Amino acid sequence: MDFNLFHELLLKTGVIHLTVGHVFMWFVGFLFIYLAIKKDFEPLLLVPIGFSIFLVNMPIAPLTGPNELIGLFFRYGLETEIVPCLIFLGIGALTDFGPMIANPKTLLLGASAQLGVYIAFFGSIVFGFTVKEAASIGIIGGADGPTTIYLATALAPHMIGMVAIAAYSYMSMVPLIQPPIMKLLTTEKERKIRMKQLRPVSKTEKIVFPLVATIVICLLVPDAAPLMGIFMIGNLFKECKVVDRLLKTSQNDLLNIVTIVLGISVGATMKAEIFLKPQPIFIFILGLFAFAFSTVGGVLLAKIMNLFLKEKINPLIGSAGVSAVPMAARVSERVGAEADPKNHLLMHAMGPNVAGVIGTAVAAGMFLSMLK
Amino acid sequence: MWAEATRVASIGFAGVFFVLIILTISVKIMSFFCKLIDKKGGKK
Repeated sequence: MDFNLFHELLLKTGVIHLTVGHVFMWFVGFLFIYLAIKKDFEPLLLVPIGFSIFLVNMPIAPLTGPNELIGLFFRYGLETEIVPCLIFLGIGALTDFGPMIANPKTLLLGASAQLGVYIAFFGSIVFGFTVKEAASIGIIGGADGPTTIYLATALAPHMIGMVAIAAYSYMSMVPLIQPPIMKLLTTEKERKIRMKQLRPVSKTEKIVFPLVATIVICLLVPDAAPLMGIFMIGNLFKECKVVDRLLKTSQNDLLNIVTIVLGISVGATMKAEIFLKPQPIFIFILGLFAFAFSTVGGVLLAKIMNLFLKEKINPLIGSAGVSAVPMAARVSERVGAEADPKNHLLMHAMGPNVAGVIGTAVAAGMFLSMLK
Repeated sequence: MWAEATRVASIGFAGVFFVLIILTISVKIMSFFCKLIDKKGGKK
């Protein structure tokens, strides 16, 4: 009798159910935590994601079922698309559109840097993914985590975890992925191009911009409205200067809360039985291609624009057209400073950088309007 | 499937450019009118 009870208890421990796959995923979780703490790669996201990977690979722990803690985070936060949109509210409240308003042609760099989205989209079809899955993988090239999750939730919910992990991993590796491509595509002379200082942008322009952008985007691509609308509300909070409490909440507390929910929910999708298959490996390869080609698209369009412009632009700012704000802009600044230490490109690169956020959301909206 | 993929990609990429070109033009027009408003406000 006692032996039976002991046997039953033993069966209810995780030890009996532990597999090599679980242990392997623990190491993946450790790797994320290591990269976040030691290498400072997107720590705000990789710490919760890494620990969540570690946690959900504790066998038979009641965490991710439909009525279990992380399962509820996932259902109400991600599946309802609330979390990606609330993150956009915070990002909007932190974004300064000034450099883009001062030099609106940089919006085009934000469009060309979506090239990788479509290259990876075709690549995914070659690897045997469906059109909807391919769109969810391709959008990784936009380097925008919330948009990637938003699109994957709508088109390929079974892939949210894999694409989100790929997107955030590569976003944190922007400083490693982009510089070699930027140097390969530009000459020393081009990297030394100095750009004219940006004109000051008035308060009126900054207040009116979120309204104008909402009209244009929501009328042309209604499916991008949940992301762009909330993004622009956040930005209006910042620029109008009369809702300080709402601004502070959007920028800090709310953003931090939804980041925790996002990190834990995304990490929880990386269970050994789901993740240790060839599919995620293909997604990671395609995500890398997406990032690389988005960088190529941005730099090449900047070079093409220079053929027609009187005042040349430094093609290094083109690579900032992938969203990854403000990391991609910092990479442009750093690579530019290597060629000419007195050349500061940061503010110029912020234009295409924030344009990239809009570009990726529009690309996602286009996918949704055609495939949903 | 390839036909659908080509259609989605070509329309999608062209659409992103189209929307951002329209937004570029809108920002230019917006800046023009904002400067006008600011000037008038300054004169008063």
